[in-house]
Formats: sequence, structure tokens, C-alpha cells
Amino acid sequence: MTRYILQRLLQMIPVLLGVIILAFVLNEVAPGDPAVLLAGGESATPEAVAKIREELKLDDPFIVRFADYFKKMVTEGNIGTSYKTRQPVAVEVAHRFPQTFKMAAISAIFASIIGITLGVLSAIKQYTFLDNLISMFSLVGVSMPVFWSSLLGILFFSIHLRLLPSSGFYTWQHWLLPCFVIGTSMAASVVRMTRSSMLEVIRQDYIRTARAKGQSERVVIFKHALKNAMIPVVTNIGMHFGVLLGGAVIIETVFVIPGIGKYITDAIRNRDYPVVQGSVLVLALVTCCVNLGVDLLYAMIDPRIKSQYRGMAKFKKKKRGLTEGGIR
Amino acid sequence: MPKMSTPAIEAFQKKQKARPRLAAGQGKENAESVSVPLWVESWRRLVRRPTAVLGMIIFLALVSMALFPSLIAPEGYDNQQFTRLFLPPNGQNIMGTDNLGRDVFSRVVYGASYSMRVGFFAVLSSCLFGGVLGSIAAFYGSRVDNIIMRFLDIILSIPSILLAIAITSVLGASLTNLIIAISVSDFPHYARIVRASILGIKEQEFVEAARAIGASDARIIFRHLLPNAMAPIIVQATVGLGMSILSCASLSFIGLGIQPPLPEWGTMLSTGREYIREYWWLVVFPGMFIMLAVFSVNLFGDGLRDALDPRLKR
Repeated sequence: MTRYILQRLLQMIPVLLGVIILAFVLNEVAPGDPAVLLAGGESATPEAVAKIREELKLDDPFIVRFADYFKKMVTEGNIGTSYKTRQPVAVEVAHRFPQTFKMAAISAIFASIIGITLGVLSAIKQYTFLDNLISMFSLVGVSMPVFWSSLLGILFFSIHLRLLPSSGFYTWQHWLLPCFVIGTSMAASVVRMTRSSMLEVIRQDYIRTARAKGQSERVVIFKHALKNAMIPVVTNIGMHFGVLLGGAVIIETVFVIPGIGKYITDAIRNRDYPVVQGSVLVLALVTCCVNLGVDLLYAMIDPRIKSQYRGMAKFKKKKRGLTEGGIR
Repeated sequence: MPKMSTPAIEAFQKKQKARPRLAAGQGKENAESVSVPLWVESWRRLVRRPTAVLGMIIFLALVSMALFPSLIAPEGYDNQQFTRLFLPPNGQNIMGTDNLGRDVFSRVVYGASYSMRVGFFAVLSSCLFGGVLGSIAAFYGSRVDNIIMRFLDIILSIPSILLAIAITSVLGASLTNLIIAISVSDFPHYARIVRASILGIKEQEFVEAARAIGASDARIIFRHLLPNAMAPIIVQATVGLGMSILSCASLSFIGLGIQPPLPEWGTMLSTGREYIREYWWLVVFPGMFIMLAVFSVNLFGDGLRDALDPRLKR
């Protein structure tokens, strides 16, 4: 298992390297001169612009700047300094990431509880009124744009009922509405995945066996069926969680949440290249880690996968032993 | 001349007599399953599903809105009348009027063409690009496969909406750039699906047969492999159409897509958001149409997936 994790971590290196190059090139071809922006826009004097260009080494060739950036990142852990605030990107990201993480985690937990419960219910009551109702609602939920449901949420809970604040992320009242909106949209997708996965499992022979040996329906559904139906559901939740960590851009804009998504969109608008590069790199790292986490969760849920990892290690050991024996 | 009667013929005639006669319907069904192509069969299964038909009807209604907006909309999308600012929904303006006195319903109708155009062309280009890359990766395998898949991993590790935002901000906000941005962030999904389905069929005999008669690699990929891997691509394309419509609206909502005064649904929502406290109709109706478009595509896609599912075949 440890060997597998190490292997996966090593595999991340070329991907992250690719992301760094991609972000650097993308910023390079972006229109607009950051020096002009920093000097105060179109009205800036050429001297001021030249001074800033000199200061930020913007006149150096592309490859020199890239090498410099890469060296600083590897040796000092410096992923860039914001042109605008002159703050290190790593500090700003570390400050903002917990907000995004909190929102993503609460939404994911909410979505998992609601989504899995309704999905199981829908599957065991297949083709009944309840199943049709849940299926229809989940389809509507999947089709609703999150920014629209956020606006409807604000319209109803903040403006009409005056129950919840419409922006910010300070107290529990503030995060209730965004988490509810994201959670519902994510739950809709989890319901669909749980239902179809459960329906596939419920038809298997081992479920019939479990019923035949007199197990109670509760044990059959939750112990035998749900556990086997969890793999695609976990993948779905993991995927959403990864997207939320980096892509909750729209929600953060609507609810004015000082998270990492809003940080990046603001930076893109201000042409703050180092911020975009640094945060995209952090997000790619987070996405890779979430994917790895999901793969490891599989092993926890499914003993067959766990034994595969073990089997792989044993097989490699055995093979190594054999070759070493041969040499001797 | 005496009738020829060999033991073999006798045995055959006996067998024919002993064979149970087919019921009328059964015979027809058997004949159909032999002669009817898979696509016709899938289509028949599709139209038997009421939800899929409902999805198709809503979607066709939206497509006709996109194609002939001037026939459906009572006014032009930029008809400003300052005597009727912020009118709530009424008999004349069924979805009310906006901050410049324009009819919201007419703008929503004209807006359909932007969402549909972006959705359709984004799906088409990501399907083409992803399909070619995915089939090359699967067909050549080993090093080529490895390089292409790692390249896709890089793109997939950046959240797609973020990548689309970055690309539109680099290229500038316009309809074509929106299509490019959405296609670039979406094509890896198509490539992966095509690769997986081609890996499943590339060892089959018909590919070997094509190679044996001297077909070129390109011919094998485009004439033999891709048509046989079509079902999952079509399902993904349907789901992808909904996602592209959503991405288009999202990007326009944050100001990186279609710019006002053009009536794209996301752009309309973004403008309406400023007046949400007093004038709810500016937010509710454009959003409802985005949802309706994605909902219809999803309904149709669900039906299509079931109709094309090989496990449901007779």
C-alpha cells in the first residue's frame, strides 16, 4: 500500500510540471501589459512603466523568467509574489484555502447524507411514485445552474423571509445558504449515481442468497447491497469535491466568499500573472491529491481492491526474490 | 417418372413437418431482429420512453426558438422603451420588462440561439478533437498512448471551469472564443471515452480482417473502429451538450462570455442580479430557460443511454 501511494505521488510530478508550463505559457500569451496596469493604466508615464518592467524583470526572455520562477519554487517553496498586493501567493492561498475547503467539505457531507439516503430509497422502491418523484427532482437538480439556484436562494431566504445573510462567510448563518445550494445540486447527482449503482447490485445473485438465508431486509440493503454499490458513488462525490475545491468560482462570486476561486478570478481580471500561476498549481496539486484519496477510499470500501494492492506488492517481492536467487 | 426419394431428403422433410409453427408476431419479430439495423432498433426503443420524448419535444421547441426567433418573439431583443422600465409580468409583456424597458420574453427567445450555438459547436469540436486523440492513443498504444494520456491528465487536473475562464480571459470575450474555451476544457473527457471503447474492440477479428486486406491505419480508425465505438460517444455528447450550455451561461454570468446588450441567458442573469431585491423576474426567467435547456437534454440523454445500452438488447 505504501509503495502504491509513493508510486502515485511520483506520478504526480510530470503532471504538475505540465501544469506549471501550461499556466506560464497561458499567461505569456495573455493580452495586456501588467507593467502598464500596475503603473496606473493607460494614463501611466512611460518612465513609470519602464521602472516597473525593470523591477519585475519583465524584459527578460521567457525561458530566463521561467527558469527563475522554477528555481525559486523548488529551492524556496516560493510560488510567486502578487504584482498587485506584493504579498507571497503561498501566504494568500493558505489564508483563503480553508474557507473554500470548509465550504466544499460541508457541502459534500450534506450531499452525501441526502444523496445516498434518497438514492437507496429510490432504488429499493423502483418504479413507485416515490421513485419517480425522487428521480424527477434529482434530474431537475442536476439541470439547475448553481448560480441561478444561489440567486433564487438569496431571493427567498434573504430577501423574502429575511432569515439568512446574502453575502460573506463569517458565521454559521453565512455559510448555511451557499452550502445548502451547492449541497443540493451535488446531492442530485449523488442520488442518480446511487440509484443506478444500487439497481445493478440488487439484481446480483449474492443479494438473492442473502435474502434466501433469511437476513433482514435492512441488513441485505445496507450491508450487502450498499457496500457493493459504493464505488461509483464515492468516485462521484470525490470528483465533485475536487471540482468544488478549485472551481467554486461562481458560488464564491455570487456570495462574495473570500475563497480561492474568487482569488483566482480577481487575479485573472487584474492580470496578476504570478497569482494565477501559483494558485492554479496549488489547485492542480489538490485535485491530484483528492483523486489519490478517492483511490485509497476504494481500498477501504472494497476488500477485493485492497487485496489487489497487497497482491501486487507480494507478486513484486516474489519476483524480485526469484531474480535475486537466480543471480546467486 | 418416379419421385426421387433418398433417405436424406426424407429425413429433411420429416424434420420440416415436425418443426413447430411460429406464431405470427414471433416470426415477424425474428425477421425484424435480423434485418433491422441497430440504430433503427435503438430509435424505436427511444421513442417508446415518454420522458425521452418529453425531453426531445422541449429541446426541439428551444431549437426552433434559436432558429426562428423573429417568428416567436413579439419584439426585437434591443427594443428599448423608457416609458415601461421594470414592468412586472403582465398581459403584454408576459415576463415583464427590464432596466432599459426591453421585453424580457423576447430577449429570452433571442438568447436561445447563443446557448444552442455555443453548446452545439463546443460539443462538435470537442467530440472531433477528443475522438481523434482518443482513437490514436488506443490504436497505437504503448508510448503514444502514454504521452497522450499524460497530456490529458494535465488538462484534467485543472478544474474545467477555471481552465475555460483562463482561456477566455487570454483570448478575449466573444462567441468563437467561448466555443474554443469550452471545447479545450471538455475534449479530454471525450478522448478518454473513445480510448476506452476502442481498446475494447481493437483486438477483434474485423480489425484484423481490415488490416489483412491492406487497409491503412487511418482507414481502420475512421471506417472500422470509430463507427463501432459510437454509442458511448453519442451518450457523452448529449450529456456534454447540457454541460456546454451551462458553461456558456456560467462564463457569461461572470462577464467573460457573450457581452451585453446581446441577450445571452447568463448575461441576462448577471444584469438581473443587480436588481434582484426589487425585480425578481429579471433573475427568475432567464435562469428558468437555462434549466429547461439542460433538463431537456438530460432527459433525452437518459433515454438515449438506456436505448443504446447493449444489455437491453434482445
